[in-house]
Amino acid sequence: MSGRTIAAAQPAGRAVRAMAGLGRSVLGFLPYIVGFCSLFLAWHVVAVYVVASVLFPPPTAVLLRAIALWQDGTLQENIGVSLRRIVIGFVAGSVLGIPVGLVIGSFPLARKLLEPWTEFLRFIPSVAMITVAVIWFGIGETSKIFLIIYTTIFIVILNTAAGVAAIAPNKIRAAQALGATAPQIFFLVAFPATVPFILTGMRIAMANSFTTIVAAELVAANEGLGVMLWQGRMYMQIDDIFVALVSLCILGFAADRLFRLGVARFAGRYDVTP
Amino acid sequence: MSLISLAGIAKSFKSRGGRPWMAVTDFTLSLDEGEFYCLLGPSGCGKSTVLSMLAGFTPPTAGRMEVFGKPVTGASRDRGVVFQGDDSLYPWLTALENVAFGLRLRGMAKRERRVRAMQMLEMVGLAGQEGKHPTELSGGMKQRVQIARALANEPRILLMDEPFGALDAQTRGVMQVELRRIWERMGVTVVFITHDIDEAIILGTRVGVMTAGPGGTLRADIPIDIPGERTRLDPRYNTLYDRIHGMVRDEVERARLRSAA
Repeated sequence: MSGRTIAAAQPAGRAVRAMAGLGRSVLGFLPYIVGFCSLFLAWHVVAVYVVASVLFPPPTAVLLRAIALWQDGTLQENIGVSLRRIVIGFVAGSVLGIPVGLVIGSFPLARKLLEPWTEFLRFIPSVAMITVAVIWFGIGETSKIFLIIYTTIFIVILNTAAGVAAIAPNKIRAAQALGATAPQIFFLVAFPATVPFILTGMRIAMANSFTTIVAAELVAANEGLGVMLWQGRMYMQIDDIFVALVSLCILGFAADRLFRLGVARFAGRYDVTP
Repeated sequence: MSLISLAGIAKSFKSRGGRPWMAVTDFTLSLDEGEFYCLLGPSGCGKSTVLSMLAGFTPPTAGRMEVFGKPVTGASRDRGVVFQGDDSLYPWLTALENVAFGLRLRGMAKRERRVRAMQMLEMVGLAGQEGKHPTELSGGMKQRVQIARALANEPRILLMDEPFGALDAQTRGVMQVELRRIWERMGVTVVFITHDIDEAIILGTRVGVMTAGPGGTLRADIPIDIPGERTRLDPRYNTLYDRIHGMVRDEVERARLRSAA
């Protein structure tokens, strides 16, 4: 009797547990959603009731304008252009910066030779390099990608080198006592141990890339979100400016989340604490 | 000829002010194959420095150091090392991959090293934990992984630097019994650093007592001739404990007086 009741109750129990699990995850997300909604609500209240000016459009107006810009294709075109520049420059800067950082962190001689370069050049803000970049490479893609590489590479180098320096000496010693050669220590111990630092550097570089691309496009470009901002000012299209600003929020947020997700998915074993 | 021989070994470091200070002075010791040598001493006496020199991580500043009749020039596969903390394990590798790391370095085929590493994990009592990463393991388990990793490489000498120092008393007791069992089975020569007198008597075939640092040296070399399983109720245990305890207490007192002066 009792055996049968348990057997009958089991599938129901599983369903209940699944429901409870779903409920918990929704409940866990709820404050997040409330937080987002409150942001837009506050914007709406301030725009409509406090400022009440055409110079500060409410979210609804911005959304409508965004839909219109999407329908005529300008929004996705500008986003695409900016995003492409960021991705190319960010990837190139990281690919160049990681090995340089590893070398600086691993070999004292390399550190002494290369540190004057990094320690000197990294204090020129990438925004200050815009003028030079435009003179050298024109207002096309090359100057933008150069600037993104510039803004990415030093942060990645510094973080990577710091990561190598932070490796516990016992990790190296253990490998030596197990018979590791110098190249084996470099590739099988130093590099994987540095991965969390590299990823942190890349995350900061990603955020900086957004700043730089907008500044570069504001000054000299034919298309991109920065151009959209600039033209909005020129023609007093305040809604366009806000569409560009919100696009930047969403892009930056999405890029950061994607990066974190990728880290958790592929590099979780490297003990990365996001 | 003895397996390990240290003659008049000294090690000095440069302090921040540039003045040299002695970590170890005139350290002489010779060990035979199959011994379980416990090096005991108050903290700061230089016992870890001795181990570090034996491993080949740091060269001595004076004296002659030979292993298998050859001078030590650096770290080598025939001297496995177990460190005190868990920071020598590789957090991006599983327990199995950590244990197989030395085999991978010498290019052993994947399937073969997996079999070997599994045997080692089983021997240290970690069967079923092979897929876990170090962060998922307890302190005792991590030390077991370290021991398995060192032994998988089949070293002739196992150097252990206070391997159970960070463990709680219960875990430490269990680990001591298991280490003794592994040593008896593998026939490896062990040099074991500790500041725990009880641990030294329970584990060692010989106990070396160091003088207080800085610049410690060997004060006494005491054979522990208690065959079979050792218990703390054995009168020989108590006699040895009192004798060694007296020496260590002297050294701690001398260190206190020296630092007060």
